Amino acid sequence: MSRVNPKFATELSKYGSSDFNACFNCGNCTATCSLSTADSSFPREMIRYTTLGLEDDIKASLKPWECYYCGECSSECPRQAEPGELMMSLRRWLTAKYDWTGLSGLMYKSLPLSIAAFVLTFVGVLAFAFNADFDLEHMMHVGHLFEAIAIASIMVVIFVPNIIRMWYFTIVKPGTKVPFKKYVSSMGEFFVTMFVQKRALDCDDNRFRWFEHFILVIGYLSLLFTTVFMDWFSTQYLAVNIFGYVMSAIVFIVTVDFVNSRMKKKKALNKHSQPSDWFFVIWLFLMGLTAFMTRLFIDLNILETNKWLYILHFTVLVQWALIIVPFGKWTHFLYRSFAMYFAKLKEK
Amino acid sequence: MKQRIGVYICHCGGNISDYVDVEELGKMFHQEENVVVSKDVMFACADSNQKDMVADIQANNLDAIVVCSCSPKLHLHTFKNVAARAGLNPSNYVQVNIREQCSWPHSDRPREATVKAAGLIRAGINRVSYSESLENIELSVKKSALVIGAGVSGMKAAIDLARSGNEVFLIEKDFFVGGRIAQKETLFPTNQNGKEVVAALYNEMKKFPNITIFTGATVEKVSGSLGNFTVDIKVKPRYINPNADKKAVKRAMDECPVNVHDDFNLGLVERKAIYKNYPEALPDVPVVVAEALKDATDFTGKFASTLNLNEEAQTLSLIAGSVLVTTGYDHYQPKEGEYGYKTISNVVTLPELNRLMEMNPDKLVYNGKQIKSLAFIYCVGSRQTKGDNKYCSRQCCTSTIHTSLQLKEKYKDIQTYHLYRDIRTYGKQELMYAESSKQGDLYFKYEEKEMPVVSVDGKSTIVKVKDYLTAKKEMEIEADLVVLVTSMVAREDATTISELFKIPIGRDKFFNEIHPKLKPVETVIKGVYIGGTCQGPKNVSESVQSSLAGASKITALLKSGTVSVDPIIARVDADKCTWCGKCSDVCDYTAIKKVLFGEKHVAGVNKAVCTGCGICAPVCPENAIEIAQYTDNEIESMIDGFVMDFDIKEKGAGKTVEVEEEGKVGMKEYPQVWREILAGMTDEKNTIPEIATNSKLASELVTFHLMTMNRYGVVVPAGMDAKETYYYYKVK
Amino acid sequence: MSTTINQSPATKSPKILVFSTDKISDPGIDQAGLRKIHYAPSVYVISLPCSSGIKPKWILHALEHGFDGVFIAADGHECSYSSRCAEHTNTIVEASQELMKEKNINPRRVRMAALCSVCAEPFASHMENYGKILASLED
Ligand SMILES: Cc1cc2nc3c(=O)[nH]c(=O)nc-3n(C[C@H](O)[C@H](O)[C@H](O)COP(=O)(O)OP(=O)(O)OC[C@H]3O[C@@H](n4cnc5c(N)ncnc54)[C@H](O)[C@@H]3O)c2cc1C
Ligand code: SF4
Ligand code: SF4
Ligand code: SF4
Ligand code: SF4
Ligand code: SF4
Repeated sequence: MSRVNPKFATELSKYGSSDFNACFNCGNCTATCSLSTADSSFPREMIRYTTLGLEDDIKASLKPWECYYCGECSSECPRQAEPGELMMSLRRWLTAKYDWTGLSGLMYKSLPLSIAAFVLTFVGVLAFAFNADFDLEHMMHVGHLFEAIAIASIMVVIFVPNIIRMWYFTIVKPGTKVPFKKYVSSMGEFFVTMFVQKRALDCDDNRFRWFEHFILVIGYLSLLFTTVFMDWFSTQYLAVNIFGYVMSAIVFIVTVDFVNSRMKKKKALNKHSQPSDWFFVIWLFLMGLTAFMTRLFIDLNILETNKWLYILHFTVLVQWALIIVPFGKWTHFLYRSFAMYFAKLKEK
Repeated sequence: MKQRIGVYICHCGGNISDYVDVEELGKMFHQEENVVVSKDVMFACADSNQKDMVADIQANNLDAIVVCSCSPKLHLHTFKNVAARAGLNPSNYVQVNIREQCSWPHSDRPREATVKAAGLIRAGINRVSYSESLENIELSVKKSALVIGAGVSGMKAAIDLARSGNEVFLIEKDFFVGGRIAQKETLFPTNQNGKEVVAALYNEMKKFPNITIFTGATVEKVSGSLGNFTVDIKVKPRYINPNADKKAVKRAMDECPVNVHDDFNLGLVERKAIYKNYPEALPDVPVVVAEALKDATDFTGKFASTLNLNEEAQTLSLIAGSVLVTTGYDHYQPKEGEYGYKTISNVVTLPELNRLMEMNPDKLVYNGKQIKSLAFIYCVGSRQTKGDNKYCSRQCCTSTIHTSLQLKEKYKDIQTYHLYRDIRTYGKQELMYAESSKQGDLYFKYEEKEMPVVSVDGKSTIVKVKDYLTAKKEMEIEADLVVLVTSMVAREDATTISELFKIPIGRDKFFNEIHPKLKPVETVIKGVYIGGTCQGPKNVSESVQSSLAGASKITALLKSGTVSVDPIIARVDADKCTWCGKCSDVCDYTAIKKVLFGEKHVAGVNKAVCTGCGICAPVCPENAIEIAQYTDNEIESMIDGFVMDFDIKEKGAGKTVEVEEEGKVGMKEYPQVWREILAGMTDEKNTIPEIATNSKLASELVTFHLMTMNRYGVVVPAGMDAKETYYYYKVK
Repeated sequence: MSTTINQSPATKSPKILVFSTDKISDPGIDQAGLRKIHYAPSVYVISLPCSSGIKPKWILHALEHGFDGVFIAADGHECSYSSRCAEHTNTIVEASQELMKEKNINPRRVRMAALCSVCAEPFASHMENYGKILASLED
């Protein structure tokens, strides 16, 4: 027995979607979605849960993560209920629910708060630079150290507990019994999703989009690897150096195309960009660009006279690591991979 | 017995002649002694053939004709008119159906089809030889119409009838006009106020001196028939002195100490024993419930000159040429306990909610509690596959959704839940459905086999529903008010009207028209029409459409002052009849009365009333009744015709008749349309569109006939046009 | 070549007389023809205003003059003349069976069923079934 709660609709509309009430349950969206299957059918079911406010059912569901927002359903919906956008909003809502700090939710719902966080981190970086007497070497050293520490601590403090919460909501609470062996044997699904996002390939619409995504993920992870573990900014190896250039270039070039399509709003998925979406692409772009420039300035030997560039790069880095990665859209990438893994566990 | 019969057997361009050997049959019947003309024709209905038939009838002095062609449903009147044009009484015509009931269903066995056709034609000849010349029955009609029920349907019809120059009597059972629409504050789809519509119609009626309105009036007795109904009506007293001062009447209303049940507000409140349905109700004279004021002698004493408690009911006799019944519908009354109705305090019906909304302009309050959420349960008393009301009430989905929009507009902070079986917001009403979902109204689909359950849980009312939109999950909805969307049912006293006028009632208890498509407002009772919701569920615009259709039918009927009715009716052989009364008992229309015939009593048929159904004929122990054109002689001779032996020459050597080789059939004459097509074929080569333009015929028609003409070798294809879309045809 | 045929088709399939009604069942029978649904050519139809107007004596006449069976295609509840139509027609069938008994005719040689204005297939299958029944009767 589930109690109907019409107030949930108002809550969810703060995460983006607002037209789902128009749905008259024709099922066109589910029929048109190339990822929906007989065993796991969506998005109509999620719309239904949302309009009726069945929060527990939504929290226990992995389906929002199965959607790659091709937007087919939104273009087919006879009532313009924007089912694809609803799936996106549910992902944001779920991210907020998984996050034990509650900061994700606050930032999704309030733009001023997000801006304040960005400003605050910027002031912090300035203060640090001031403190370090703008000593470039010192700053770069701390910067490098920061990257490694930030990754480790966010992992431990934010991601691990959040993933455990996600696991609790979707596997434990609904009462699914999973033998331990299965946890191990299904690992493959997790890595494949993480790197290849292979499900997106099943989307009918656009192989190019999948390819872009794929390249971006590879580029981003490689850039992370080169800077953190190969210490790109101080490397002596030509190969590493060039690799770094290529990867950072990939990141900012692909993101330019992303920004471009968000601006044009041609496709359904680009129609409703939320601040969090903008932050994500713009910061990714800035990351790639400033990293590229910084190394370029090093190679040209003009960084010493252009310390502002590094301070800018560092600011972007800090904001990325402390705001966007733990509380923003970046988490979708992580949760989606785990969702596939958990879905595999739930399979009979 | 007819001696000079003409028989025409139609090829129907091959539809018949491909399977039935019409040429042979034509020759065969030529040898019959009373058959003067017997021909096979390519298209019997073609203008040219009709002209030839007229010439034949006149030249050969034929006294009866038989056309053996398609179903009489298609061309009976065509050939009756041919007879009439030739000066022959149309009832000396018989059509034999050798297409739908012979060549087509037996296209698999042409030989046997020919034998059957011979039997059918023989039967037709036998029947026509017994035919009599019947004259249409002419009745004079009074140019006045009686409209029963002053709802929106009745009032609109009355205005229309009056505008066409008829005397109109409008009878309303209630003391105020308007019917059900006065009970709804805003009507979909125009959002007009129901009462304003009523007032506008009433004021319009008042402009016509030829409309007489009787309120508080009921029909008591009906006699007479088409053209001349005599209807006795009883007009109940209002008990108000007609000369009383308006202000005094107003004061009496205000000061009245006794309260009575308020029918208009569906019993949600009480009203004074001197009341109007609502302040603006029309006619603008209140009504006194005299019975209730019996003991309030102080009060009645004080207003002795205003009230007239001794007023008596009046009986009047009205004469009308035709009657339109627009008595409307009742709301279905849920049984006690049906979804908690009457057992749980906050369960009401949709009509009750509509009244509540009008009584609560600012805040919706029921039982002293403000209502913020409502759950509507649809189809209550409709679509009961096992119950009485199997029909869908048609307008309630829209009414509910419209009410839901109104609720939101009027009271803002309101949540509605809709438990439906199917949403039927056909036509433009669909837009309201979309608007409702967009404003956040929640919809749940239930199935009849798993009905929602209303229960009380502490202070709140809970509706449980198995929701078919959420994989049949059990849902719990908390609602301040549960609203049952009740159906439209026939008026309780519909049976009285039905008995008085003999209007048949359907299984759904609404009045029955003759045919939903072909005679949608006519009843089997000549001169009696139905309109509006007394016929079945309708919204206002549909109600008005049907009542206006009835009004135009009546206007057409009354226009000339006389009507002619079909002579196919019962007749009694007075010599045989012993007046046992059995026929009179079975006749649903009371067409048979005891009459004096010489010394004895016999059954007499009222020509204006008899429908010719024939139900009386088989029950007569003396076999004294026959229906014109269905006499014993006619029917029995047909049977004899069917079973006669025939000598039919068989074509070819085979057992079955082969279809003639294409192009070899000789044409004695071309149908008119062929000639037009041929005239349209200007030079050597023509495509279908060219021929269609030249001959000013529709291109489908040209296509169809060219195909047949091609088969008969009249035209042949002559290559393709440049674009290869059309064949050229040329005359062979 | 010319042959004389002597009821040859009818000796194969029983001759059935159908009484239909102008507004409802006769259009249904027309519909069967229109759609080229085949039934035996030994079926003959007489259409009347209402099935309640069939006289038992006509039925007897048919059975005594060469018909093997009489089938009444009644309107059932759709009849626009009388809500008691089915009842009346039934009375007629019973009265005919009384008369038939006197003449030693099997009562199954008259039968009634409701047929609607689009009942094309049902009509054809009624004819087929009834034909089979009649063929099996020995009286
Ligand atoms: C809850 C509800 C809401 C609705 N809302 C809408 C809406 O918003 N828009 C819309 O288009 N339609 C609406 N409808 C439908 C609408 O009410 C009807 O279509 C309309 O009232 C039909 O009018 P009528 O004249 O046929 O019948 P009625 O309104 O029933 O009028 C019949 C009249 O005949 C009188 N009468 C009855 N018997 C006799 C008798 N024996 N002798 C003399 N007089 C008699 C009655 O007193 C009455 O005055 C609604 C219906 C319901 C149930
Ligand atoms: S296509 Fe639109 S209206 Fe249909 S079920 Fe999906 S969201 Fe609802
Ligand atoms: S956006 Fe695409 S993947 Fe997501 S639910 Fe709609 S059709 Fe399916
Ligand atoms: S209109 Fe709607 S509520 Fe009314 S009976 Fe039909 S389906 Fe049910
Ligand atoms: S049933 Fe026959 S005999 Fe009896 S009253 Fe009627 S017509 Fe006369
Ligand atoms: S045919 Fe007989 S039963 Fe039918 S209406 Fe006429 S008199 Fe009445």
